[in-house]
Amino acid sequence: MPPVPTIGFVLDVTIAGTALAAGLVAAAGAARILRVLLHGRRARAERAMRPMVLAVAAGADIPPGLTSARGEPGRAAERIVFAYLPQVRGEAAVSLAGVLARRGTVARILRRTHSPRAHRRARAAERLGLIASPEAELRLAELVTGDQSPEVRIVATRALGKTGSAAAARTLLHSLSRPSPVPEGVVASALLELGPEAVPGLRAELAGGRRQRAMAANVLGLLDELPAWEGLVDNVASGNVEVRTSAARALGRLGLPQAIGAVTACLDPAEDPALRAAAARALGRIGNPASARPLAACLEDPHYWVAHNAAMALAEIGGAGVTELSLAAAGLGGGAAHAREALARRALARGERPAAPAAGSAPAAGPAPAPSAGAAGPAAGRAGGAARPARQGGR
Amino acid sequence: VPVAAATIRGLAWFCIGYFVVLNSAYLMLLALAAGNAIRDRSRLRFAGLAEIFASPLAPPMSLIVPVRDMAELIAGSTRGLLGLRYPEFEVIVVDDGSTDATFSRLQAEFGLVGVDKVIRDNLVTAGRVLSVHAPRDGANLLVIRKQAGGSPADAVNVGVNAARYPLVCRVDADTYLDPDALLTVAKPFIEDPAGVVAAGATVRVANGSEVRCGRVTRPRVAGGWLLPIQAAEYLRSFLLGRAGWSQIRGMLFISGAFAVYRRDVFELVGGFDPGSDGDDLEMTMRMHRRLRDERRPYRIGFVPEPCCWRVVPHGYRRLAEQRARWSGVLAEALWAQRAMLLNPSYGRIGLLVLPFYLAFELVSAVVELLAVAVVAAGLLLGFLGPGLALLFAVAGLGYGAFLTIVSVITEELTYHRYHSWRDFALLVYAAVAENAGFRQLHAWWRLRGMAGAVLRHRANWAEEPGMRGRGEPAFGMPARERRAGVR
Repeated sequence: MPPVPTIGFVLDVTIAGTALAAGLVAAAGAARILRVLLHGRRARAERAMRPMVLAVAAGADIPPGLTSARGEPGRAAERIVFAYLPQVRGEAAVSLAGVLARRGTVARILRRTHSPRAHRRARAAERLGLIASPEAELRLAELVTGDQSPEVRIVATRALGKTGSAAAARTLLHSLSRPSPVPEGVVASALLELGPEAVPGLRAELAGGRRQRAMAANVLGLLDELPAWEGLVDNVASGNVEVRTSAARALGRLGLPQAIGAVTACLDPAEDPALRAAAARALGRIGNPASARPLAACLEDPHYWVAHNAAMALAEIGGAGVTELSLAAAGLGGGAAHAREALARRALARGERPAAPAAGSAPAAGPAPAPSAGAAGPAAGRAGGAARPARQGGR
Repeated sequence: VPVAAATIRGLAWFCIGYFVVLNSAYLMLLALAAGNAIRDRSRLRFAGLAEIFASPLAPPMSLIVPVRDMAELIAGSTRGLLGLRYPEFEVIVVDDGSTDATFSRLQAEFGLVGVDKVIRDNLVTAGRVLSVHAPRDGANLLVIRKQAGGSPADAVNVGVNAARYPLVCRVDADTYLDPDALLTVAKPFIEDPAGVVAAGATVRVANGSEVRCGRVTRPRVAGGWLLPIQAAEYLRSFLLGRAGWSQIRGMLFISGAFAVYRRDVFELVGGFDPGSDGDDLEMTMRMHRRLRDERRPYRIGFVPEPCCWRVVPHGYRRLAEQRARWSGVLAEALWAQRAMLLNPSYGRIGLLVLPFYLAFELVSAVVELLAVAVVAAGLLLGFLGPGLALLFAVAGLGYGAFLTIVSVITEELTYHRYHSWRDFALLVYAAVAENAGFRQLHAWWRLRGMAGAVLRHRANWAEEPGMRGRGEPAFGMPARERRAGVR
């Protein structure tokens, strides 16, 4: 058994521990006071610098006070410039970036992108995106493709999207073929942020690798790039399900009736359910009455999302689509349940009161469905998004 | 007598050693979490939340709110959820057989009308769905009324069956989310879409705070004895404890008060177990086991801030029930997943996290009470000198208080959500006061919970923390908060 420590020793330990805790509390209290003081100091400096920054953004020459300010006023000027940069475009953005260049801020940030600490590199990358100078863009491209930290690559990707250059689009698309690429959603968001500048690169990639084609199709659809429709139709008919699904989705967003044939072909029961669900949704967005029949044929589909999207697409088409839904809703099968749901949602979207849920209808969820007649539709498979369509109702 | 004296001295030394190891382990977690908190603060500047909010590619999310007999709170809470910042989401309130005015409040507030809805049956559920309702103005809200299933787990499973979106988020109705909470918690899914299967966030104590339209607008620490202690406890447990575990990829579970799951993985593991009291803990452990069995790479994310705020019990009885339930749940979950314990196939979860939870989170209640008994008996019988007793107090209680103080200070220096000096002082006071009585009471409640688990006592909705008993004030919330927060 270890020797019992003397009371004196234990008291010493207690006093030391208490003193440490009290010191930490006192330090936190001091930090509180310091925070208040610093806040006031920063606010005063910002009040002094803001009119100068706003004048530069409005087209005035850069005053010497802005470039020569050091210490807290200098930091305040930089904070204000970075706060306004995302909100301005064109000449104003160039002028504000000029303030940073003259202050030496750009060079300092570029140096920071070589910091051994990932979060510092990421912070610098974010700021380079706002500056958007050619040298900033070049360094961001290096970070997107070469930085070892995923966090830095993601931030640099987002930042590159803010530079608004066509070369950035190519860098982003090529980064997808690297061994550990930035997640596709982040790249797609950056491409969207680039806007029309990204279009030539995206259209070229419609004939590229699998990942690039899927990405290009998605983003072109989101950018409403109508002239790209033919390339998208080619991709809908291509071999890869992911690419075809993205292309079908994009054609739906473009809403061109020329694409109906290619998209309708994707509804074939032999096709992948994810593709069929995307195609059904796309046909709803295109909104052509000619799609009503093929969509109505999908209402009884065993795959939940195919049937659900087909019903919603019919509601979106209106006219012939609603007629098909009304016919289906009068039945008792799974298609009837989807049709009633779609009609109800259509009514709510139009500010109308939906038809009362069918009397005596019963729940779908649960292993023990209601015993009432006409309650549940035919059970339709289980895993992978299958459903047991049924009427919900009763108030 | 010599044998008894030796036994007591031996037990005293065991308890001292146990507490030193336990508190040192917590100190290491705190160090990891504090470092992360500092980095996290600087990351907020380039978090890209504005980009996520503006992006049509952000994964849409279904928020599922299980409720039962929460008439006073539900309308304000739902309104708060509908006002969150996120590109595309729906709120699904699942009324699990309420016997009060829960549904009629929702109906009056949102102009609900009955609609047809096809609900999948991917997850097995117990309570039958009675009806589905949507607002007349087309808002992204769905209210499902169902027969009582006996637990929130069943209600959440029904909600997931009805969910449209690939991410499902469980939110308790007595929880208030910060405006950017969804954007922040979705970030791990966006930045690692293949790896992240679930994500949780910090939960803080809402009692005492100003709440408007379902949002905590001014965080405060409530006065009294139990509430500041719980506020400090939650800080230590979530902001630093779990953040520490997340740094070493050892998140054993995420709080069901606010948790986001990938719907496909949620369905793969069968959703919540309606028979389990601690649905969130049990489900997350099952997720670990299933994904490791299938050798699928995965990650459970944790975001320290922004966070969600939860109303905690303010009375002894409810708090005792809650803590006993948590302890019983932990015991049951560890027993159910005992195959993972010390099993190298389950990596750090089996070799490090589960043994830690068993040895320190579960068994500490026994050691805590044993230590009190040993020291008291030793002093009374004269077997222990004052030096050893004092050493015990320093190693067990003093060290513990020190850890909580460090947690409070880390919060103060990083996230700084409590602005008043009074709140800071209350948290420091709570860090010390916790050790004088509350800790021992807590150990007793936990011991009862473990015993209850052994005897297979099951809690139900009525024992859920925050679930209002008849005739009691809503969620133990002081009148001032009810006036401010709940319309």
